[in-house]
Amino acid sequence: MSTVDLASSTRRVRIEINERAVEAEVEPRLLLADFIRERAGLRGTHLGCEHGVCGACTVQLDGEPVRSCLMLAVQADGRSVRTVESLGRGGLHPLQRAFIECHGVQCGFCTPGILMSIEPLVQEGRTLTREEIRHALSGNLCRCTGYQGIIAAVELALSWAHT
Amino acid sequence: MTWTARLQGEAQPQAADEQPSLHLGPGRVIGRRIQRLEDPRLLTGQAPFVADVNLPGMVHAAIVRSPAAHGYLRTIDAAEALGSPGVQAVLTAKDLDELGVGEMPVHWLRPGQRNVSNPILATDKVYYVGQPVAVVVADDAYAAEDAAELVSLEIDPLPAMVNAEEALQPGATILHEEWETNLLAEHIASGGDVDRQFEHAEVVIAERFQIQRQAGMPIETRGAAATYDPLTGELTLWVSTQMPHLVKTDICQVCGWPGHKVRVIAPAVGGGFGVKEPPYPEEIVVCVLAKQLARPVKWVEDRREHFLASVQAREMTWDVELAADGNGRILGLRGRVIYDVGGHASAQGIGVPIVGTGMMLGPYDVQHMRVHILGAVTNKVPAGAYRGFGRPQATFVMERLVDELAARLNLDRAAVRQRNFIAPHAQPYRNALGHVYDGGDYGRTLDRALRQIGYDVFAARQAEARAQGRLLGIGFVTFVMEAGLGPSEQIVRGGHMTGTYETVLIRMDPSGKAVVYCGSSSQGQGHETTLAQVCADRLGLDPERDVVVVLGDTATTPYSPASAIGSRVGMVGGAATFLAADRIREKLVKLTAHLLEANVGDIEISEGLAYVQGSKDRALTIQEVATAACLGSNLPDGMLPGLEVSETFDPPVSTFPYATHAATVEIDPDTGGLTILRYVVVQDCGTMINPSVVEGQIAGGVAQGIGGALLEQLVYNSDGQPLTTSFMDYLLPTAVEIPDIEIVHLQTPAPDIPGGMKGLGEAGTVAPAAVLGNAVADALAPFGIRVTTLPLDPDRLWRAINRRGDGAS
Ligand code: FES
Ligand code: FES
Repeated sequence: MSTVDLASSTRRVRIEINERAVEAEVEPRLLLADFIRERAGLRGTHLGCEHGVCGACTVQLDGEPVRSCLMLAVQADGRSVRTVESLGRGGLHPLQRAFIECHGVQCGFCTPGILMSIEPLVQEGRTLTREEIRHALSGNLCRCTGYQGIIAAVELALSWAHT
Repeated sequence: MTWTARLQGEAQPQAADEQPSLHLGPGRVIGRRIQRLEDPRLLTGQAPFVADVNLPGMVHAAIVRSPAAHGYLRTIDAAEALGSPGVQAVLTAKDLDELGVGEMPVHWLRPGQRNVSNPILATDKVYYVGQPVAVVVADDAYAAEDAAELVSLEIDPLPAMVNAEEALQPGATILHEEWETNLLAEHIASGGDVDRQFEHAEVVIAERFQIQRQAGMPIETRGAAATYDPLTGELTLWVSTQMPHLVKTDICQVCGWPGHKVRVIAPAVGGGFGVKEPPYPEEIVVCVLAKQLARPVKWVEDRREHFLASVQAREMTWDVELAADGNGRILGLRGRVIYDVGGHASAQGIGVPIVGTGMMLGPYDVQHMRVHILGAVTNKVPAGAYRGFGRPQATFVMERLVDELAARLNLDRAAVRQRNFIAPHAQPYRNALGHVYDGGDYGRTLDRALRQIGYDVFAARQAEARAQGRLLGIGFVTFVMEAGLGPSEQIVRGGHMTGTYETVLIRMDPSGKAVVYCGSSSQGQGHETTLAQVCADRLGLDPERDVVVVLGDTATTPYSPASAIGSRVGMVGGAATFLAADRIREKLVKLTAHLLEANVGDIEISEGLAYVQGSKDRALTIQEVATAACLGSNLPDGMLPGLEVSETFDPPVSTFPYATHAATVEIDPDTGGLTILRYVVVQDCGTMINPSVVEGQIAGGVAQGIGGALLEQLVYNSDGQPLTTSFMDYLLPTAVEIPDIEIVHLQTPAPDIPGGMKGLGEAGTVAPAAVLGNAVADALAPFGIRVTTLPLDPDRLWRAINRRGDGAS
């Protein structure tokens, strides 16, 4: 039986992160989250569970929210990633402003993942009921806020998107 | 509109949301819903958490943990790990011993307590799965984890003891053989003559309650990063903790290092909830390694480790009886609680059931109780603090008993409570255990909550629903908790080996801006904002533009023995800030009077100005006065230059915030699934520094309480193997399970605390299990089910409904 020594073989990947190309020689097992944090030096993407449940590590891959702890860096080769650092360059994004206004942040560890999960809905100008907002948030755990401020912030940001 | 604006409020703080931005001065900034100062850096991903600390040459630690729940540790073979790529070192207890590193102290001691310290790494025995045994250091975290798997442990297994009650039975497997028992410590909480009350009671409700193991489960796990400078001998540790100064104290004590060479920094911390209260072995280990290797060392716990090695909580079994007369007047409470300590004491010993039991009689005027508290070791993760600290369990037990009493006597549950409440005019009230409450109108919170939730019309709705086969229930609970831990003297006498005071240093420089230094740390509570508000309020400054708050760095902040625990920072830290700012203010006033040749009594400070009352043209800016103070010339006689004040506030008493929570629920008889229809909180936490922050604390606490009541449970099998080691097995509530939480405020300032804050952080968690327990019992009343065991998950409820009244629930 042949075995593959995962640790010793490396591959070169090139991922566009926040419109900047990041190239590195990586082990195939390197998580996308670790690539973003350690190779690209972007520490706003957080790891809360590393098993795909908490959503803290959520980034956008070609515009779609994904869990960067469930993907390998090599799987993102040649693709484009957006992290929380891309939001509101030159002034806060409306979703970020809504979080401030509604006290949607406490410790802030879950926040970047929530922003990256919800931002496409704001961008699309979706109209959601509170129940739909709850469901949209259900892939992100927050242990501090009881979700009240977060739901209100999403509601507010969506309402701004319509005016 | 903010979410808080939708909430109903009476006694809303005077300074409302619509205030123009410049309206600053005493009484105008405290109470205001300002936005949090810490938010922008958190929202942009810029706030540094421990995992983000990266230093040149940094190496990474991985912990080798016991795979066995109980056994003799015979050998540790690290040869293969040491040969693995990138590995720098492997550390075991033997190495620590050779380096003269001692044991982790237990900070809460009871007379006769059997362990007062714990090994950092296992020596000859392991007591739970996950106990740290060895540490592997490598160039990166992946390599360290790979190598950790190559360390082989030889453990002679022993039978595991996973049930605290059985652990106290004769013949039980003994964990710590030198003790000859599994009893860590015990305490009898007693007052009055309870047995006499039972002799003439007309009703006795006897019940057994079981509360499951849960944990605070912050979304950021623990972590620590240390660096050592061999030239200066200085060590710096970044650590995800609630208590940076205590971590430093422990490092110095355990390693024998001098305090002035050790600096501990709590950077951004992603939630604490008690889990990050005690100092942990891993935090000591990275310091020792940083010094030994002369390289920065980092360790970040992964979630599985968090389930194996961070303190767990709440697990208790209660056998209690409540005595009452035929009118539902409660006469006394007695019984026993067995607390599952885990493999050895955590820093808190048996403090958790002591605190919980201490306020068990809560808002009721009952002078007789006796509860025997026993803490038993088991082969599980050590148990310690979790937001609420024993109160959620005690409240669940007491409030379920009160509902059962009402049911037994066929009396209205609200009426039974009102009949037993301490009357407002009986305050200050000394409870059966000697705690002196500082005021409270419990009946008013209950009335208000029942009005809010529509108690008067609920019975009709419930009957209608029942006729259609639907199960609706309502539950409500009024509680009072002790906050702030009381005076240092008192708590140290009670065996808690840290004081409870807080020192705040405020510095103003010639710019007229203030920096507030406080040794507490923040894990999301918004202390930067609230302490800035208190300081700004006293000094006529703008909290956003003119004040900076520095927290959690032992090198710059005053010593803080208790830090962010016990619902105390807003109250004790707030009071210290209040006093320090007032002293700066006093100096500014005196100096202004001197400079303007006016009477001290005529000077006012607000809106960034110091001026003669009634004539704002005779004014100086705070900046001008501060400049004069810092220049040091032209000062009044006897005044020293400078604007720097440090004040220590040691609370003269505990405070007693109180609340009523009420909820309505619907249970699906086909699935056992429970939906919370409405959840109402009527809270009096004294002065609110920032009502939006208060509401955030309440909502977060309630959500954790709901999780503990309905979903969360740490499970071990009979071999002591943990079965819940991921978020797939241990379910945290999501946005879908948590309903809108409606909050009504009452504000009675705490009479003995400068600023009037009563403390709040834990309050939200205290009632939900009891409220939902009562609501479920109400919904399932037709089935004759007694609700005595948590969590109230669909499986338990479905079985209860379908077996009809076997008490399974
Ligand atoms: S860290 Fe990726 S989902 Fe939790
Ligand atoms: S704000 Fe702390 S986990 Fe969400």
